[in-house]
Amino acid sequence: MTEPSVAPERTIASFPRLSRLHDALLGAKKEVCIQRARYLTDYMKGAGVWFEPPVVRRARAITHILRNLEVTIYPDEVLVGGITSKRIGAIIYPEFIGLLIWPELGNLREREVDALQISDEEIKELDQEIFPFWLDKVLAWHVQEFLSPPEPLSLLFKGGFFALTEAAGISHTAPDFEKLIEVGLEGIKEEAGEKIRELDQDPAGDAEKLRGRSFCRAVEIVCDGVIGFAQRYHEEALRLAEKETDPQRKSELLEIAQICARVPAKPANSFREALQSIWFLEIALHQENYEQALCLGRADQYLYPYYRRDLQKGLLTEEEAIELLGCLFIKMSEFVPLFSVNLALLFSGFPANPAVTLGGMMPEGLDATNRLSYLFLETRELIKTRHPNLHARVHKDSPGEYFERVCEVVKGGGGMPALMNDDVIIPALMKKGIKEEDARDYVVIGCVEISVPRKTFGSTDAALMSLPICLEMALNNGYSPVLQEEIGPKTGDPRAFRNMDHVLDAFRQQVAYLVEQMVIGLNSMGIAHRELYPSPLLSALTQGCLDKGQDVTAGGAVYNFTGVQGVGVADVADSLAAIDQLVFREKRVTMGELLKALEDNFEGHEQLLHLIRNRVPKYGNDDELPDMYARKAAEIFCQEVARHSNPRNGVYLPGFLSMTNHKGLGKFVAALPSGRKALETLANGVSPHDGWDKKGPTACLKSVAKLDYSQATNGVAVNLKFAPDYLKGAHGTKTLSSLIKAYFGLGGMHLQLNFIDEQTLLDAQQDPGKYPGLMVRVAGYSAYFADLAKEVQDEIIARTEHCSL
Amino acid sequence: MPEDGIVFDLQRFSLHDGPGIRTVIFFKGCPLCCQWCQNPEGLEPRPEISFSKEKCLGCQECQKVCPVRAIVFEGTKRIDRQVCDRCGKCVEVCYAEALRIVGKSYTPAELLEEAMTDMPFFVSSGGGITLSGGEPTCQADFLTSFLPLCKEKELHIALETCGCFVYEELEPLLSCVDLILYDIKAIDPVLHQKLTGRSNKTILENLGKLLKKDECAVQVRVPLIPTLTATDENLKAILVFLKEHNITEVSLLPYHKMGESKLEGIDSPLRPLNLARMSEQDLMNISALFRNAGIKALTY
Repeated sequence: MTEPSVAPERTIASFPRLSRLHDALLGAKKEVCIQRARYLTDYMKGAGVWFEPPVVRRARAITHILRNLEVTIYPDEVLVGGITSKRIGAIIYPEFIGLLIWPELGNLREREVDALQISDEEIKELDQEIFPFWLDKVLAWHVQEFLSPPEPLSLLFKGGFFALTEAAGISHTAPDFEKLIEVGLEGIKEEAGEKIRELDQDPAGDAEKLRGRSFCRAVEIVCDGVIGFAQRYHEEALRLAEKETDPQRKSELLEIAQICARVPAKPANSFREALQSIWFLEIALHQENYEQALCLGRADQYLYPYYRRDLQKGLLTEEEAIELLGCLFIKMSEFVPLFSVNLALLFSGFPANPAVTLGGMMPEGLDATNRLSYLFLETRELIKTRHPNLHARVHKDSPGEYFERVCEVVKGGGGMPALMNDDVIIPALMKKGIKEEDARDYVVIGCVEISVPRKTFGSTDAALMSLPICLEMALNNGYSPVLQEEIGPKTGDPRAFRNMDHVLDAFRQQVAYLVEQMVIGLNSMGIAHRELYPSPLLSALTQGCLDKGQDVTAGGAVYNFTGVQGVGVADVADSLAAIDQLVFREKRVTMGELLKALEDNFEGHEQLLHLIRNRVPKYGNDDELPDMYARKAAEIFCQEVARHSNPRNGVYLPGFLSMTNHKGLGKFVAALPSGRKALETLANGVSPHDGWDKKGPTACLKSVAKLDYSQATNGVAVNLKFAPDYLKGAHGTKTLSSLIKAYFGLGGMHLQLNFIDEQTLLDAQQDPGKYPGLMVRVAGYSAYFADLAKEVQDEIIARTEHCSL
Repeated sequence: MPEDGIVFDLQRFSLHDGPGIRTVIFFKGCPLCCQWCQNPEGLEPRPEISFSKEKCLGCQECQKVCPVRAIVFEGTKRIDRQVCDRCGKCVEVCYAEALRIVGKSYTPAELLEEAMTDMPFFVSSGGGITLSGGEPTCQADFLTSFLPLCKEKELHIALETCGCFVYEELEPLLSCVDLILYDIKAIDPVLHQKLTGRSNKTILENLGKLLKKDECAVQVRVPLIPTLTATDENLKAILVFLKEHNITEVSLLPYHKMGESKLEGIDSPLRPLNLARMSEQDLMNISALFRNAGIKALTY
């Protein structure tokens, strides 16, 4: 319906500084920064390091990096601090998986997927000085040599079973930035010092407590390291101010210098100081922990008092707040992950996903939406940067205005914010033993994962595991047709299965086996993180650690979890539905005939393929048969995961998101009874198979809402794609918000939306230069379309587009 | 036993056929035969078999099961419509869905169940169901048993109609209907006869009667078919008619030819019009014509 479109009050034209900074960001090439690797190596080469407790060694190594990392203030910036030495840089973590790039260094600039710039000198330094040192010090190899039984790692290296991302690091958390801006790093250092004094006066000499002394020392050291880093920015700003001829910029630089002299050492005195303090910590945390999902948490909540105070005092306007938030968004987008070619397909589009969570419920149960929630949304509307990954929490009492504003912003394109349903998530977290006020305070980590901020070390994306390969092994007595190898347990000749219970039982045994192997691998890695590369800075900003005198990697946090994802729920569901209907109920084919067709990849079995594709209902169409099996498949994975514990005294949490692993894992699965052909992609998250949900978004969302999310507390990803014309104007926004409200009322947990038509995507694929800022929702994250691997682009184009006339 | 309804499609998440999120139920059979018909498979009252040559695998299974030898393999044709008795056996074995039955029987209770599936979305959006077609009033007997069931469940009901019905048959159902979407195609009876195969005498009279009763809201809709209905002369005549009846709002439905591709697969008297799409400018001009006369023009 044609209605006057509500013109946004502010456009990017009202923010010339942001506009220029955003252009500079879009115009910058992505480069590798070797500085972290260089200075880490530098420090670790020192003979003395091997006599330091690991946690102290780590603190000093990080301090050494922060003392040397190049300091740059770019034109127009008011928020400063480079996370790397490049405008857009990729950080190398040689102690984790940085060495995977070694054989590909020469090709990095030209490679097809996620190309990155690097100079010949930098390649030479990596090749000769840096990487050789780390050969025997990489975490995964230490795990292989000393900690893990061989099987989990052999499954990992085969590629088709699971990705164990803890090999690359843990990160995936929302640190206590609230405390940081409240007490400053000096306050935290003081707390660590207090803890040491307490220990020193303990007449009992308790061994457990004594063990915490080195940890507290490490916290002191690393806090000083970060304070020193900010000090270098203070000096740089002064230096630039001195030679600056433009009086306005000169005064800006002097103000920057002043702020960097205060934070993060001292408590933040203003909204701007709070942002600067947090950004310095983000930089420092990224030197210690790999670049995935070091999240800002509920920034609209903890920043609000600073915002309100400044506004009341007349020190800040809404426009200035938006400009500062925009500056933060841009700083957060100045880094990309460094993936090897193989990994770049699994995690396509340079995702790093530092997330910000907006709105939702306060710990006391009241609605938390505030003016800043709206300003974050508006900033997002103005500049569509890669980061932060923006998530909007909603609950049944969320203000209608907020709900509609969220829908309006997501309609603007780029897939952000994603929506999270408090009414499902909070009770689910409480079932996992999280206190109610903490559950109400949850944040989104990275893509879609769920965690209690400030108090949790949750390793929310520790692994992604293929479920269809479990079904395939159940149908092949443990054999993997693509790998041509016996892998799983012998669950019996499927031709002898008499009913669905037999099929499900075999599937469960295969899942149980793979989950076990995954857990053994992960637990070994968890131990290695603790022993080799602890995280004293992250621990300083995680509640519980200073109390217990323990690093996060040792279980110091209040809450400890490991989150793992199941991939390909829809593929398993559709396959089980086909077996149930065709083999057991209608007896149209025998199991033997079906298996033969799978073996032949349906070639010469076109009739059967069409029977399966057109006469067996598919998940995503609000049909009970496949939906019931989706629920079942998800439940089996959840139950098998929930049996296990991690080395940090926490339990495993199941979730269903796939990044772009559904693509990569699909390459190891032959034809499935669902009618999916060999090696094709699997379904993403808990979304239906691309193009197989044919009854529109209500049917699709009803199917999705049937899963039992009370068990999937690590989070799930659900994608929906609309033609942009479809939900036009204020009327369309209302329709979208009522669609989502009803879906959440039915028990849905998560939803992310793409508003982009096929023609634009096809055009952008042909001519990427025409669409430099075109952003799409991939899995639990958004990425620039041009940055995606061709196959992932194809998938996004293939997703069912909901539109009609 | 109440009569079954013959329905050829159910479309969920429809947004332009009444308020909110709706499920549109397409009833088979229509007394008119508009040249631009968007759902030509809805014209004929009985179920029929459609064929799509793009989907045909050429497996000839259909031929093997056809009891009356109506399956032919010549060019784009597959069914000898003179011979076919519509038993549907060929459809059963056509897994590729090249052959499909258009029109399925529902008891009132069965259709109610289908209609209710999106209830949570109707509630959140103020939507409901829309009876469309074909011409739903052709199945007035079925509606007599179906609509009260819907009302019991508090479904919001919209009725899309061409207006060509026996008023007395529809009147008792009006208490169940919340909104009538009423098509006006042409005012001149000769033109109407030419475009739709029927005179518009009853149609215009029925609208007058409906407007006099205020049992349910009536929204008039005008399909804009270039050179056929969207002529200056016809639009002005419609305008005058609307003014005479104190109608202050009208929906304009611009021509599109998405329905025309369906013609090939069915046995239809219609041929594709293949007209050009109406330009944004033309649409704006027509909207302005109505607006200037004090009639709000809604476009989709």
